[in-house]
Amino acid sequence: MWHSFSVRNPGLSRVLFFVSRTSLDATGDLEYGFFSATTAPVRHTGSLAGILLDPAVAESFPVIVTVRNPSIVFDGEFLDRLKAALDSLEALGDGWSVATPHGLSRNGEVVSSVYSAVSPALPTMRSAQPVVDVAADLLVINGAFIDALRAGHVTFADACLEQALLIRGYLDGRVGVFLPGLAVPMTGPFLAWAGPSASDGLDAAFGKALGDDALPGLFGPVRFGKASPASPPGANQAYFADLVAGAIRHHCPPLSLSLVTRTRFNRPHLLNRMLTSVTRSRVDGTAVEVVLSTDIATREAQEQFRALKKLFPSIDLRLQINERHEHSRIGNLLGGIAAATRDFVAFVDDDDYVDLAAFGEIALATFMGTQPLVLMANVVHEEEWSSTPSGRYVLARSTTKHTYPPGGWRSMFNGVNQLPISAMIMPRATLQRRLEAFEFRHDLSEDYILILLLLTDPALPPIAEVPSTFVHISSRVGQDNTITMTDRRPWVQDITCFLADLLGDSAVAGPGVWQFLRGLTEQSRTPREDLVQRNLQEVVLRQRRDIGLLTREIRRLTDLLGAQE
Amino acid sequence: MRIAIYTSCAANYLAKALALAEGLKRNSPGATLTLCLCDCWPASVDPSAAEAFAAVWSPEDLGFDKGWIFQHNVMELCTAVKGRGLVRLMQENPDADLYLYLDPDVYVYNDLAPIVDYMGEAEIGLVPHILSPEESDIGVQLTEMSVTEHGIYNLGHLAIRPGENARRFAAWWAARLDRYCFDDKEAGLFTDQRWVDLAPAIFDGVKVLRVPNLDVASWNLFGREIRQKKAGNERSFTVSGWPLLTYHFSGTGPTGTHRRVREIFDPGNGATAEIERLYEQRIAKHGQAYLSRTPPLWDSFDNGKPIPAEARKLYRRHPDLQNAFSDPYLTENDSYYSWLTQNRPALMSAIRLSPPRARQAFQELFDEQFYLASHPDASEAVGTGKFANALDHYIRIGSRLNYDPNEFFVSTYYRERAKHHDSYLLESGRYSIERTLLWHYLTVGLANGVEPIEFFDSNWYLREHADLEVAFRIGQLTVPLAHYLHFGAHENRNPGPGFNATRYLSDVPEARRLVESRRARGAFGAFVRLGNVEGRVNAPGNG
Repeated sequence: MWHSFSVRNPGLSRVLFFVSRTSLDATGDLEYGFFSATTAPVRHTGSLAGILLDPAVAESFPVIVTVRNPSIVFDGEFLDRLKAALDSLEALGDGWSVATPHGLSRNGEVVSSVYSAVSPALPTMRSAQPVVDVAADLLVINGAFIDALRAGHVTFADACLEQALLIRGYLDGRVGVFLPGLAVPMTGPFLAWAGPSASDGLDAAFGKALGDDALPGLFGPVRFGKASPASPPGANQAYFADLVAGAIRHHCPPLSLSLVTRTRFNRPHLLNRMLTSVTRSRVDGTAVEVVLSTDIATREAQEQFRALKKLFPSIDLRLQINERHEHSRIGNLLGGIAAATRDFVAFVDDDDYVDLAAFGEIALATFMGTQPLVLMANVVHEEEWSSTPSGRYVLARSTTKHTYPPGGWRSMFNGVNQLPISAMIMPRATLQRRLEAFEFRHDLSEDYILILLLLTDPALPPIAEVPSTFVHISSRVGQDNTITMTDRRPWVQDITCFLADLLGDSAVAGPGVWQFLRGLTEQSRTPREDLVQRNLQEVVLRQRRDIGLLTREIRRLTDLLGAQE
Repeated sequence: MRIAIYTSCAANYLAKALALAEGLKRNSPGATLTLCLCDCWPASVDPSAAEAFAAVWSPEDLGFDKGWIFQHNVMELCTAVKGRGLVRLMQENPDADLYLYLDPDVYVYNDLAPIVDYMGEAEIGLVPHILSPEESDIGVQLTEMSVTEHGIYNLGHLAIRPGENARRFAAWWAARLDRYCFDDKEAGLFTDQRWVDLAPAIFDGVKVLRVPNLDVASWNLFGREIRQKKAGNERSFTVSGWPLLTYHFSGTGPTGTHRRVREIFDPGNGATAEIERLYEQRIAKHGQAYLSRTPPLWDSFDNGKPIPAEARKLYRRHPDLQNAFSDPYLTENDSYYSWLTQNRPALMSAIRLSPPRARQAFQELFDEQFYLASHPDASEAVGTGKFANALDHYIRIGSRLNYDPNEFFVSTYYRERAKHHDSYLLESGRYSIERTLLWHYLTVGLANGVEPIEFFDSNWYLREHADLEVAFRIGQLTVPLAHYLHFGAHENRNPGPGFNATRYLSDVPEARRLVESRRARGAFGAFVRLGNVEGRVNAPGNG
């Protein structure tokens, strides 16, 4: 049985509620406060889809709240939270379809501010997020969107109404959004809507536009038409992802990013490749600058820089010369950060390169102006370059070796760095504030320390874990890169000293925080095992090389002994 | 100067053709562009967009009937109409100073009038794929070898000046394309392109346009110096000092091969990257994301079912079928479709795998243990570190040597039967899984009913075992052969209608011994081990 009513609240008079309950009598109950503020309810027979979309039945309201799950509790502060949530939606103008307290993010992460007694979980996302699936339990719907559907005589099956509204919204360029402020208590389980009638309904509504395919859903993939449970993602899924991205893009500020690249200009073909990737990856409206941070001689650096400006006229290049007596990785890093001027800062080594879709993806992480700490995947490629007689370089071979997923940050406190430095895209203000709290007195493994420093920031911004790739890391066996250097003693030395600074007397985080983080890591073995697995091949290779060196040494000593005898 | 240009495409390239028209209007305003649209006008594109073209011709407008269209896949069709298109373009634009064919994925950056100067007195201007020798081995493999295979001149560009030689060339080219415009490299054909290799030998007035600023493409970036003088100005791109006239974005789109090849041969060039970026933005504006997914009209029967390549080839090879079914797209009674369903059921129920499923099936069908045990030289080479593992050996050498990847894949048998089915896929390019016989089976052979071992029939196997058919349909089973290799043979299921496992085991004691001693995968495994299938001999010690 559906009841509709509005509430006598000055800020919420434009909201129409549809609540599915057998009775609305809450006299003496903790929900009494809420229900005593409602207007006289109207009873409806029939399905919610029929009531909402039938122009003859429903009234026009700017905002509609549907509550399908009877176990949702309207606590005394619910209306205040709802009002705040609706206020935050104003930033989207008319460009939204539905808002939810429980949805699925584009990254496949469940974002929720519903506390269910049956499946309790902590809310983890504190900023608004676009979603690709919504729970049916409670939904806020844009009234203008419903009016447009009614005008177009659009109907949906009730079994899939909420998902259909979301998908239709994206087809119309409207975003579906998770609002953490819509938090609600719930005594029962979430309503799982999946099933044949829901799939049939979606197929009838969208089969023509989306074909036989599967879309991501809160309760497993949502399938249309003839898509089987094992069907691989089809082209239409990518098409839907593009639709979603297109709708979100309207509500993301233009990307403003500084890429800090430490370079000594000694491998120009790789630096050129990196700058080419930046040129290629730009999307309209992005303000991306590349800060080339170096400590080579000033005149030489300036000459190199002038030549690069001619080769790459489309990108904003800056030169930062760090005048030091000796080469310093950390010196160039800090110098580059100091020279950066954009809202976000990221690091790309001069032998690596930016993924084609990276800037677009980072921009999407700033939905509704959020300034998150963005973490993205990095992919390592083993490369072989050949130089031709005319002096040009050709990428003769490139093999993907392994990927650092952005989720590596979750197990960063077990003593092993799980992310390369180029996995992070940081709000510049946060980064600079954090750098002021710590003195980088050493040089190697500065990436790990920087990540730990950020993650222990009491004012850490929301973390946006973006599974797509930001940077491709180049590994060249036997060539000029540090990844394959065999003597790791300098790294171990510096990391020990760094950690002593970070965990010792410094005031960057209290000892309790470190215990807490360490404790969390010990609970979760899997990421560590994952890392071991990922690096197993490298370890084996390294050991083989060591065995080879030892064998050679034994042979040399044996020969020496033989000669002496 | 009057320049009459034409291009040809299906709806999936329409966004690119619209971008071509846009670039022409902006940068070479004296030119007109006619579109040969081998498709219907897509509903998602406003019909007024057609005004970007001087005319839009369909294959029917050029005099082709459905029987002729049916013989061509979409690439063949779009190239086969180019001959008659040129003839008609010359007839309808008798006053033009220059006729050009440009592929739809070409973009124009500056006035095309200098092409007339480049041609001098010549009437037929051919643009070579490459202008300088490659200097790296990967360049030789990926570029030079590919050019010798596909044609010396790139027919994404063709320049014609009015004259008798040009008219004779157009008539000859049209006649050849009317009958022989197929992607059949074994027959020496590659659509319209290989034919033109003959032009310098058999026509007067031919000039090879060896200029760096025409038809710049991912395959010829090596040796060209591309620069941009002024950011934001598309006319300011130069190639080895010449103003860029045309850039050919072959492979731009979902497959992204353009970018990948560019990243190999011109990895550190901001100007090339900017050209690529701007082009992708332009085609995106014209609806590339949606249009690129549009299935070509002429690639399916009128009930929407895709036309198997072999059904197309069968029709092409048999004039009696062409006479009997003048409109082979129909699916009603007494149609070519119903004839195929009745007489070539394997073709019509062909199994097609998605790439992820094919990759999974590949893993399931590559039996490393069998491979190393059957090919001692491979085992030794892997043992000494020359190859990373058995799979690496198979990809680099084994497949080409007809080494069998599993017990039920007889490479010699399969290669012989699959040779008429896109076998060029096996022959060119770099070493990769996609160049192996096993991959060919999964992506080409299965779809055409070609099996890798005598007596095995994938379609029959599924039909006969209802449980497997369900498993296959819902994706729990990748391919019938993988099930048979790992389970079916052990369970003594029959591989096809021509082999009865129960009877064989009862009749042949050696087979029973092999099965009982677990030296064979069930009855059919014993049958294979005893050398009863084509391509296998009775191995020593089998009894």
